[in-house]
Amino acid sequence: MNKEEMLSKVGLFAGLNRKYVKALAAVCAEREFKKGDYLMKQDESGIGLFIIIEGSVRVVKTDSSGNEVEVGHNGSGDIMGEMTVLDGASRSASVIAESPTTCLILASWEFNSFLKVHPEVALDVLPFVVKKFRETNEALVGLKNAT
Amino acid sequence: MVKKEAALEKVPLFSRLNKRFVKGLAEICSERVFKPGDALMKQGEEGIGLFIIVSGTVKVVKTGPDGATVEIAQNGPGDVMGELAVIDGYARTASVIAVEKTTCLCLASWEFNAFIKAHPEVAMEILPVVVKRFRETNASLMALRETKKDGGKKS
Repeated sequence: MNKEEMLSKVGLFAGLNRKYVKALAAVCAEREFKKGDYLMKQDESGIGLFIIIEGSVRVVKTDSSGNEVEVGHNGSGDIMGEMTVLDGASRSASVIAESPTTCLILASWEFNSFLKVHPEVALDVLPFVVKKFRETNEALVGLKNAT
Repeated sequence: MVKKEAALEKVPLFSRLNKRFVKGLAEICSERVFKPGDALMKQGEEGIGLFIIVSGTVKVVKTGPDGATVEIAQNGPGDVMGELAVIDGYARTASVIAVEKTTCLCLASWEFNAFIKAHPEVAMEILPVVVKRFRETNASLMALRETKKDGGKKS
């Protein structure tokens, strides 16, 4: 799969015209991580979106009492930090390579300068974010009602 | 028009917008009057847009899967409803019915969509507001899930 194909699988970019996906692919970088390397660190600001091309990572969260809890595993094709390209928010968990891992990275500053040049892309991204919000809100309301 | 602008400026979704865009939005808003008992929105129907109550009172009612209708809230002057419906026209999750004579400022989703197509920078200013809201909701959801898990362990 080439960079363009990988990016078109990202929900955030599903509504994008092919020419924009192509342009985003051009500003993506491929990076390799050794076993034990941190892809992201909890509480540090997010640098962007990661798509795992090859390898596997574990997602670890340190709770308020200092305990490390493994919250998940990701592998080839998985996407992390999708919304980070929009706000660079600090990470809620750390991601550590558990085997040699290659990622496609779209840095948030690259995405931001892209958005400034092509503000019409915001039109296509907006409905996806609204949908994510609605889904999360629905889950929250459902969980609250279950109490 | 100034009154419309002032009302629109209070909508969180438009909080970051440049004054000239708020002015543009005010121009495509319309004022509508509802009689007591009139439905402003109907549950299950497509959202037609954003409503800001200028005067009057409305009740928000939800019909459950068992057919029982429950009043979940009352809204009055200054309250905003269907804020995100201007973006996606999503089907309403509740009905809104005027309790007394109610005047609303309405921003139709098709008007809004035509406006942001003509001014995509508006979409850029709205995007961070929605992302922030998603983050906050997601954080509350995660925290609540966490509490539930802990509660489960203790019991």
